[in-house]
Amino acid sequence: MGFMTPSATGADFKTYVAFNAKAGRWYTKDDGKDEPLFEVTDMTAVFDMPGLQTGWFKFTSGVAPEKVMDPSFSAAAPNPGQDFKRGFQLDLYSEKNLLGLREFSSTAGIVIEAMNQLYDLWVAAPETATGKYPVVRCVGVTPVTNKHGTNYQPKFEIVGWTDRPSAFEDMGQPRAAPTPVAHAPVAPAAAAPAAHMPPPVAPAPASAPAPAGAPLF
Amino acid sequence: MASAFERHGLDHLSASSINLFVAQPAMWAMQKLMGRKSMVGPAAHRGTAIEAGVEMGLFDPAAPVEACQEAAIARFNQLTALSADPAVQKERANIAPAVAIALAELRQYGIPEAAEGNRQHRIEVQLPGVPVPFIGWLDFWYPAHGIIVDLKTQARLSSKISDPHARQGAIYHAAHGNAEIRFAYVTPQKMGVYRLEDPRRHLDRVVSIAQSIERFLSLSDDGAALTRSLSPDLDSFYWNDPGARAAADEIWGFAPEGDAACLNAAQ
Repeated sequence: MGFMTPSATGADFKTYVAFNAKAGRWYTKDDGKDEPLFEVTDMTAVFDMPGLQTGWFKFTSGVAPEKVMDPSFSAAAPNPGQDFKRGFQLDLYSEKNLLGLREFSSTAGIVIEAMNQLYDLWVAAPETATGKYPVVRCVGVTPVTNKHGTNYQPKFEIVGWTDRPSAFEDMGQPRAAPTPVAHAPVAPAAAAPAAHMPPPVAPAPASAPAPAGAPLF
Repeated sequence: MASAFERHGLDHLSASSINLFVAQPAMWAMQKLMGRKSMVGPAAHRGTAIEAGVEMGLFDPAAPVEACQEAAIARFNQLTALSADPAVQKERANIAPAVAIALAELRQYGIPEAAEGNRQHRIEVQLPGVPVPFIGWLDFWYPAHGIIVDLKTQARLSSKISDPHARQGAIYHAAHGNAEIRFAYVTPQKMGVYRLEDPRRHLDRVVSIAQSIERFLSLSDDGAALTRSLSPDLDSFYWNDPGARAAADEIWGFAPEGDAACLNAAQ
């Protein structure tokens, strides 16, 4: 059993907000030990997109996740071992909806896909270059049915822009906003963009129970 | 009676061949009917190098990513050793991050199946209405998952599978009907793995193109005459290779002395 691997910044453990893909709902809890989870009815928050990190995550029931973060988007950390999956994490902030600063992470393919789309929107937005942070809302969920059954994919929209909340910790050198694409954007295709296909899941060994605290996809 | 393909010495087709015929028929004819080859540029070598690094990392899951990156860069250096193209430096810088990103995604698929004596699987498939077979090579086949993955390297990530790639995937699907075809597009920053939808529709287009080629070849048994009945788009990146442009000058007579020779021949 492991305690959470310290993040690259050495930050303290944060209260999390989780997306339950089976239910299509968001949950968080109040700060403090043994606080109960409650459903987030309005998932609108400031997303720390410059602080978005990718890496390897291992969720085990009853303990904080183990994480090994990538040094950068373009350089993946080595796979720490079995049961680790690729995922992302970033901070979200909303006093009203989340009771403050929360950490959001996921290794679920459909959630990663949704975050990829949000990332592309954020990169393309002119406000990003001004240093503003996006206010993002989960405007709905889309059912995705496959061999794992039906799971729900969140749909994110940028509904506003704001100054960087002081709650977002200083990561030393803040990750710079990406340079806007210098040349002409890719012409929109007549067909809808293709969906990223998550890797196929290997059949789990019969003796290994599904971890209860892990994302349900 | 021999088919038009066979009369011109073409015993097979491929995805790259039909896609070149669609994009640059003059170059297709120059290569296939007059045997004049073109050199590819640093971007193509970047793709070959990244594939080499990714292949190493997928068939040997214990190989450190760094070792795969080094192998990829070594391959690139080998391919571009004699190139004076200024794009070589830029393309070299894209290799290591792309290898890391591709491995992070594709290692989750497990170890691909190796072919006998080779890592890539050769496919050969006969399509109704086309007298010669299609031949190709699969990048990564995962029979346990029923998935074929073809790796494509890019500078900027595509949002969908391009039509030329879809045609390639349709040919793979025709050879392995139970397999799902996925295209893994990787850039130095990110990756998108897309499933080929409706391969049948793209296969119809493959057959249509092949039959267009057959009709073109049927017009004459003289490959040089057929080639000169077309005209190259020298503004296209396909013609960036100086050797290809020199061959175009020679075949179509763009050089002043070439023009005069053609005019003299016509009079």
